[in-house]
Amino acid sequence: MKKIFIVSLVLITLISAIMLMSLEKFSALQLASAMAGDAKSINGSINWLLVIVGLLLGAILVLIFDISNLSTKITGKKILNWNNINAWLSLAFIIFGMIGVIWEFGAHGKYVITDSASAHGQPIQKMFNTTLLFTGIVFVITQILLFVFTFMYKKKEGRKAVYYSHNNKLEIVWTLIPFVVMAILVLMGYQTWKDIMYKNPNIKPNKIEIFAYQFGWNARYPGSDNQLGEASFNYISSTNPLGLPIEHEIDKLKEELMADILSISDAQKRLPATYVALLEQFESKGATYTTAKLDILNDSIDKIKSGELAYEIKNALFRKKKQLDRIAQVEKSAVEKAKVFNDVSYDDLITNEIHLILNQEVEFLFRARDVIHSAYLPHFKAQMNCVPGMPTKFRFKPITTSEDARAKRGDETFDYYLFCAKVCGSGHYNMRIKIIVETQEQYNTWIKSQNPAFVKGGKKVEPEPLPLNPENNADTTAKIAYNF
Amino acid sequence: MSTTAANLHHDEHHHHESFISKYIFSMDHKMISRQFLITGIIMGCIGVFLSVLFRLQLAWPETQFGILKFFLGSFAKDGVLSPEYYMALVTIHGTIMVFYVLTAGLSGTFSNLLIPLQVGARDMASPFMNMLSYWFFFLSSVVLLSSFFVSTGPASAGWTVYPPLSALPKAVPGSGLGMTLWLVAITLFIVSSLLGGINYVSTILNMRTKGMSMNRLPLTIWAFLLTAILGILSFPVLLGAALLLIFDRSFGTSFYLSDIYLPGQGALSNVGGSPVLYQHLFWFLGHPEVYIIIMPALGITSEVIATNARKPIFGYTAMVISLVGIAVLSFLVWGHHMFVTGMNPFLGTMFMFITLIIAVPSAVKTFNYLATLWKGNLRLTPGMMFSIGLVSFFVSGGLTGLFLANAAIDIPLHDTYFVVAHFHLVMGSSAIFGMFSGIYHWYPRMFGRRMNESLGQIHFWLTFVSAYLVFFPMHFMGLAGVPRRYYMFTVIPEFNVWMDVNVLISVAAIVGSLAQVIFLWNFFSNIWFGEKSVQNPWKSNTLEWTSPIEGIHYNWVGAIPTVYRGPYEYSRPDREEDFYPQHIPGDDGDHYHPEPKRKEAPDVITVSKDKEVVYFSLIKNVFGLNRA
Repeated sequence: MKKIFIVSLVLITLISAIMLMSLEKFSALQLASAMAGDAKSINGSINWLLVIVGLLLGAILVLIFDISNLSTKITGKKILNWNNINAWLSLAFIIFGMIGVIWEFGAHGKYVITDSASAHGQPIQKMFNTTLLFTGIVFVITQILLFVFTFMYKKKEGRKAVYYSHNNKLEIVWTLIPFVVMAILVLMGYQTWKDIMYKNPNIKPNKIEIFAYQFGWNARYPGSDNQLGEASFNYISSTNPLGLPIEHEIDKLKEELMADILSISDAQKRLPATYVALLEQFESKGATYTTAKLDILNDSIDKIKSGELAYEIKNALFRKKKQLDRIAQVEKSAVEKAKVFNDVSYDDLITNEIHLILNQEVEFLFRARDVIHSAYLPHFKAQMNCVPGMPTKFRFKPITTSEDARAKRGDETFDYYLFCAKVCGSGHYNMRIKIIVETQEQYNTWIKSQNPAFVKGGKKVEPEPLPLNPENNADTTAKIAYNF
Repeated sequence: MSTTAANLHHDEHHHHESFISKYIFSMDHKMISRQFLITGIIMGCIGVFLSVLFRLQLAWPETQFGILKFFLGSFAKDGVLSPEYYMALVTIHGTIMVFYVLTAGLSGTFSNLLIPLQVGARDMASPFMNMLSYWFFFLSSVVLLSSFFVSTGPASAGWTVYPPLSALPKAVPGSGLGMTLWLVAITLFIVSSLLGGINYVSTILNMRTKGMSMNRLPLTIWAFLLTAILGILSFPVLLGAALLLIFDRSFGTSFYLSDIYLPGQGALSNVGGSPVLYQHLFWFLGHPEVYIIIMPALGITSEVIATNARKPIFGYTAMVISLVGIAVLSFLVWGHHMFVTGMNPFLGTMFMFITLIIAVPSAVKTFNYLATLWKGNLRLTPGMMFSIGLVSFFVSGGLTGLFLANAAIDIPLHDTYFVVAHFHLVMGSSAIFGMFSGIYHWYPRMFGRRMNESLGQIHFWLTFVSAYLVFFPMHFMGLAGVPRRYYMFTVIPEFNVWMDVNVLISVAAIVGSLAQVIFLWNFFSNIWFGEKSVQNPWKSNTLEWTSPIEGIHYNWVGAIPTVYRGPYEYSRPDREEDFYPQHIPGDDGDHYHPEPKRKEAPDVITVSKDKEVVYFSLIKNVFGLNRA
């Protein structure tokens, strides 16, 4: 049996070695270059070496224990008294573990975002610190007790444990203490949450639409009229990526859709003929084609044969017709039409950066094109999901300009970003948009340099700076109406 | 009733068992528990292996790995993982670990093994349903694993499979056939879980032996009972959610879909659905699910700690009440997964309130464990060490839950590495440690042989330290605003500072997973070569050690032992020995737990043959009618 074990370990080592060999990076040459200082190229191989060394060490350890077991059997004495070893290891673990925790707070705690660039972030940080204090105390006490008890009360021959099955007073005390702590946290948390989610309705924030798609973001500014046009997924096209209600764009889209429907239904009619043609092609020219080409041909024949293509065509037709219906629905009612197709969209600005004005409340209105995304602004302690079919919003007030943040960090390249935090597909990891917080003047210069996306009747609407919203700086102590 | 049972009993003893009826389609609960355990271990190995694959990518992006090329082929061109397949690995790792290892592998194994043995029953209420439960689970595992062989890859929308991502094959390739297989697998899994759960509940309520009143049940059984009830109440909701998703995907309905535009397809025809509806349905299972995972582990820990500390578990009643409290509250907190989905903020307030309250019973449990250790006579066996490890993880991970439960703090932490660290500690590592603890403790009961102690101890320390090294630094990543499920960090300059941490985590993860090789060796080799165990190796009080250690069908030769006291009478001052098994008659009888005894012992072998008996006695028991 022991032989089997050793043989299997050797086998595992060998298999890992073979895998290692299959690494193109691992060769004597690479090893040499690594020794010469090119550490990056060898990174992978070194870790594989570590793995093998670990395995061999494991094998040696096993052999040692094997010998100790054998000797136990022969002499009847236990060489390895795991009770003592574990007790001491527990003590070592809690000492080194606590040192490790403290070290971690120094080594990686410095990257933690503690200064919030938004007004509401500060109470969140305070809340966080309070929770950290409570949990920190509990963490240290319980972990130390756990391992120190393990050390202190390890088994001793002849000693009997204390028969102590319950103590109602003690139990009531340690039920009530967490209860009180939780009550404090709930009350504080409720206050903080309420202040973030229910804002003073007397203050009118600047509105910016944040549009999420696979895989990127756009911001839409309302332009000089301070109104955002009512966009819809029905109007999205290649020239109108956010789906704004721009009449000439929609006319173009309708034409495209109708042309599509015609060509698709044509293809639907020609499907049997196409099938015959493909089959002929396969039989006559099959011999001269490469395998890859034949595969493609075969696939298309299969797709028709199985009815998959017919199904797809049917679906596409249905989809396009439905879209036309929905567009027509809006246009049917004069009231609806007037509401949607007002001119407010023409001066909307679509940008690839988000610019915010210092100390002015801003409301992000989120829209998603395809799947759920989540707008995550770690530096502003803000996050909200962007859900297709359900508009969401988040309101906050930036209080640190990008320049100040750079100066504070001593990093000239630093910038605020909005990341995607909800898994949304293959490009999820690289879906972000830059945020710049600046003063009113800087903002005005920037917004003047932007061009509205659309032109009405050949006349471009010049972008004008947002009027400084006097209500934005209104008395924040005014009575707050909650809409529970 | 009892006469029929006695006759059956007589007959069953003499019938011959073939290989198939003994090892494959077995109806013996002990064999089924072994089947659950071994399938769970295999699934666990696959889950851990997948995590090593994506940890390689996270620590050394753009490095070419032969191992990736070898296993993944075209999904890892030139040995570099593709972003789509990274998503798939993360998704399947999560699914396997949550459902297949920690739900079926943990609860399935130990509920099956311990319920009949510890309550004193000859088998489950319905051995046939029990067998079906395992085979549905097996089928489900096969279907899930088969999705690795689909050309578009397995499901890759995260283990929560939120639509629209999971509903649109054009949005991510894994949402094609791979996702369909995922849904089929989960549907089968739910069937398995329900068959098992109903069985566990009816066995515990109906088939306790004479004297085994509810307040003499070992805490393991209490945990399994409440777990099974949670499962029965919450899994059907997931079934509903999955069915609606299947409808949306395959039959053109719009339960979860609305206002979607996809490049290449244009505006979709689905209007009026809500993706948030799915999240509500999913988390209505999803949150009880984490307690379905952790409660059996806590039950096992209670038993192992009391046995090895040679002390009564501190505050038995408080332990039961806190388990019940956790079980009830777990149904009212699902919304804390959805604070930033755009849900009404008022709901957020309510969910925050209840979630923070659930910390109270959890804290009580922790303190009671500590009090049990205090002035004990601790035998630091591998099982005991894993239980102590569980308590440590439960504290570390549970405390970070207080941050995430607080809606305001959750805003900047939601979907970041902080969450990853939190749940891997409190429900991942902790529950896995409960499972290991159970395996080391009841291995002699399962296989009649002992595991090697030294290997077990090495396994514990390597796993324990590496788990902390893997998950502790992740808290800081989350606090610095690193979102989870990112394929690589090198493209975002701000995240480059985390590369050395990623390397540390990956190396620790590789070491930790290699440590499992020691366990696998220890586990599988000792099934055949291990030292034969004595009847009661841990000197435990509970009934499972009175049944012959070789493991016979119907558990006891002759009468089922009668129970005279609670399960945790260790180191009683009036006794010479430091344990006092439940079945040994004593003069003082109920002196320490003066509670009424259960009058009659239903000595039922296979009640399924007499279905009405099960149902009627279940109803009777629930309404307390059988007292009459």
